[in-house]
Amino acid sequence: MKLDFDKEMDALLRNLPDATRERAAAASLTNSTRRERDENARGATLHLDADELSAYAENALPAATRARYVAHLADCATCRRLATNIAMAADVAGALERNNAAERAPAEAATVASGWRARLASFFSPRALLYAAPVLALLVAGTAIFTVMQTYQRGAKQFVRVIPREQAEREEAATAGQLAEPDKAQEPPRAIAVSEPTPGAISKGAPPAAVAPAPSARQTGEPEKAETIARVDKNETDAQRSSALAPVAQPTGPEIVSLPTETRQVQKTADDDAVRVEDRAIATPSTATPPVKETAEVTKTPGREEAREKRVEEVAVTGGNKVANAAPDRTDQTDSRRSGPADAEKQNKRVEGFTASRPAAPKTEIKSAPIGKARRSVPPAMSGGASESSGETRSVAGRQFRRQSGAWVDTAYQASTSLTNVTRGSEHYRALVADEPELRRVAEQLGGEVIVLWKNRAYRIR
Amino acid sequence: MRRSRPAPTDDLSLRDAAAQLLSRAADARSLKEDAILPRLRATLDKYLLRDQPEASTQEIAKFVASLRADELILVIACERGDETAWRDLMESYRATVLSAARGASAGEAEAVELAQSVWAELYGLREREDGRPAGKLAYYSGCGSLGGWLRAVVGQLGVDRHRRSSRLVQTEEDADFDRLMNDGDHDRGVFSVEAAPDPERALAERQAAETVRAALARVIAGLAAEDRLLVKLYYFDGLRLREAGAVLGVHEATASRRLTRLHAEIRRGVETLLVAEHRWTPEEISRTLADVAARLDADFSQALIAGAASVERREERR
Repeated sequence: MKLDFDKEMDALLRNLPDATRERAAAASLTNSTRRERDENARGATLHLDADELSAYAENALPAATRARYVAHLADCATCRRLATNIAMAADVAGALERNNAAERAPAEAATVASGWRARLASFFSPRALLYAAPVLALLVAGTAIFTVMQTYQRGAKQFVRVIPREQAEREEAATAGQLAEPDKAQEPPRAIAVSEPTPGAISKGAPPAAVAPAPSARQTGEPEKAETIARVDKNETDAQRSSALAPVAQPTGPEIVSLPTETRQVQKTADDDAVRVEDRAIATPSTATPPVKETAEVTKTPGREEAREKRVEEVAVTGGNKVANAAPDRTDQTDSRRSGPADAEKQNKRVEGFTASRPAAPKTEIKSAPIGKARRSVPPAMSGGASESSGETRSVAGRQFRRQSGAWVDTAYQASTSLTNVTRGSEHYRALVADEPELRRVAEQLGGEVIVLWKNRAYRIR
Repeated sequence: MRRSRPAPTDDLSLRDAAAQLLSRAADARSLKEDAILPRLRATLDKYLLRDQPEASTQEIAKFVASLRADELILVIACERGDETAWRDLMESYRATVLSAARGASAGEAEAVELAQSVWAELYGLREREDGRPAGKLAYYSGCGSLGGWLRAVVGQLGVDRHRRSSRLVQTEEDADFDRLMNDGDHDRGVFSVEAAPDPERALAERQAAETVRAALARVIAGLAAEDRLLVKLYYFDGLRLREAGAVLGVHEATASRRLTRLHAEIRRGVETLLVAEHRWTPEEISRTLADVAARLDADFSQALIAGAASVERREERR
C-alpha cells in the first residue's frame, strides 16, 4: 500500500539507531512503570500473561481493558512480539479485511444504486425527453418499415419437390409449351404437389409446371415474370446430390400447386450423410395427398456404389404466383414430411423449385454433419500438480483417495483408526498445514470432506 | 485499591450467565454452573470489572456471551481430570502447539522438546490440595481462543528458555547488529572525525544529528500509547502496515492514515523542541532534518556493508 506521507520523517524514524530507540523505550517505560505501580499495589509482573496476550491479539477485550494493554505493549518489546505472533497466526488482519469488505458492501451497493437511479432518472427528464422523443419515433418508424419490407420480400414462396426422373421428363414434355408463354405462368401452379398442406393455390389438372424449362428472364423481357428452369443432372457418383425439401405430392395425379417462390439450388455434398438443402418450397394444400413415392427431403442418399443420376430443376415463377421462400431445411434432421417407403428408393431424384425472377436470395447451405462430440473441457490443471482423477479415485500428493459417501477417503485409512476433526480455516487447521504443505495440497485439491491418514494420524478435514 | 466482591444479586446474574454459557457449548461435558462459576468470576474481575467496576448486568451478560464456551468447558473439564477431555485437547491442539514450538525454536528437536514441556506445564507438575495436578490450564479464561492462548504459552516458555541460555547464545538480533555496527565503525572509520574532509563541519553535523535524534526519542516517548505502539510496530519491529494494523485491531487503511497523522505530529513535536531548547530557526530545522535524514540513509547502508564485512573477518579468524 502506497503511503503518501512525510518522507523525511519516514527516513528518520526508519533509520533510527538502536541507542535512540532504547532511549525512547526507556523514557516511555519509566512513565508506564510508574503508572502501573500506582495501579497495582501488589507490584505484579509487568508482562502480560498468555491469556491477556491472546485475548488482546484476537480483539477479544473490552475497550477499556484493551487500552490498558496497549500502553504496556507500546513499551514492552517481548510482549509486543508475542502479541504480534499470535495475531499473525490467528489471521487477524484477514478477519479485519473481511469485516471491512462486508461493511462496505452494502454502502457501496447503496451508492451504486443511488447513482444508477440518478442516472436513470436523468434520462427521463423533460429536457431529455424533448430530444429523445423524435429520435425514438424515428427508430420505431424505421423498424416498422423495415419489418414490412422484409415481410413483403418474403411473400414469395418456394416449392421444391423431388420427383422421379421419369416423371420429371414427362412433366417437362407436357409443360414445355406452357413455359413458352409467360402469361400462362400466371395461371395456377404447375404440377408440384406436396403431401402436406401448405399455403398457396393448388389446382389439379395441370402437370407440374416445375418440371418444364422456363425461358430466361431476358427473353421474356420481364424479369419479374421470367421463368427459368435450371436443371442439374447429377450423377450418383458425383459428390453433389440434390434433394427436395418439401414432400412430393402424388405423382399420379396432376396436382398443380401455385407456389411462386424462389428456388435455390439444392445440392448434396460428397458426404453420403450430408445433404445441402437450401430452400424449401411450401406448397399449398390441394387434396389429401397420398403418400408420395419420392420424398422432397432426403437427408441421406444411398451409397455411392449405385450410379444414379440426379436432376435439379429450378423453375422461376413470375409474379402473381405466390412465392414462398422456403426456409432452409436441415434435412439431416428428421422431417415430418418425409415419406418412408418412397425414400427407400432414393434413386433418380429430382428437385424442382420455382424461383422468383428477382435475384436469388443468398444461398444457404445446410450440411448435416455428423454430430460432433462436444469437447470435454479439461479441468484446469491444479496448481501444484500431482493430481489426477480416474473414476472414483484420485491421487494427490502421492496418496490414493477414493470417493466414499460423499467424502474423499485415503485408501490407507482404516475404520478402526480414530479420527480428528479439523475444520478448514480454524486455528487447528492453520497450525496443521503450516508445517505440512503436502497436507495443505491434499485439503485444497480434493475439497469437501477429506479423510486422510497423515503421519499415523487420521484427520477428517471439512 | 481493593475491589469489592460482587453483591449477592450479582451472583444470581452470574449464575444465569454461567447457565447460558453451558447451554451455548456443544458439549457441556457433564459440568454444572458451580464448576465454572469461579472461573467466570475471575475472568470478569480481570477483564471487565477492573476497568468498569460499575458494569451493568447487560454488559456482564454481553461479555460472558463473548467467551469461548466450548474451549472454556474443555479446559475446565481437563482441570477436573476428565480423561476424554484431555484426549480431545491433545488431539485438537497437538499441531498448534508443535507449530508454535517450531516458531520459537531453532530446530525440530528443540521444537519437539519445547512442545512436550508445554504439555507437561499444561497438565501440571505440581499437585493441588485435592491431589489433582496444578497446571497452566487454570489461567485460561475463555476470552481469547484456546489456540491463541496455547501459542502465547509456547512463546513465553520459549522466551524463558532463551533467556536462560542467553549467556552462551546471542539472541537479540538488534544488539548483535548494533555491536557489528560499532565494530564496523572502528574498522572502517565511517564515523571517525579524522576521515572527514572538514573535521569541524563533520563534528557540527554529528552534533546536529544527535540533537535531532534526541528530540525524536523524546517526542516518540510522549506520544499516546496507541500511537507509540504503531510507531514501534512499524518502525522498530519492522512489521508491514497490514500486520501492524492487525496488532492494533484496525484495518490497514486506518493504520496508514494514523501513521500519516503521526508523521506530522512528530515533526511538529521535534520542531517545537528544537526551537524551544536549542533556539533553532525554522530554516535551520528544515535543513538539518533533511540532512540528517539523508545521512541516516547513507549511514544505514554503509553500516550494513560494514557489518557484513565484519562478519566475514570473524569467520576468517576462526
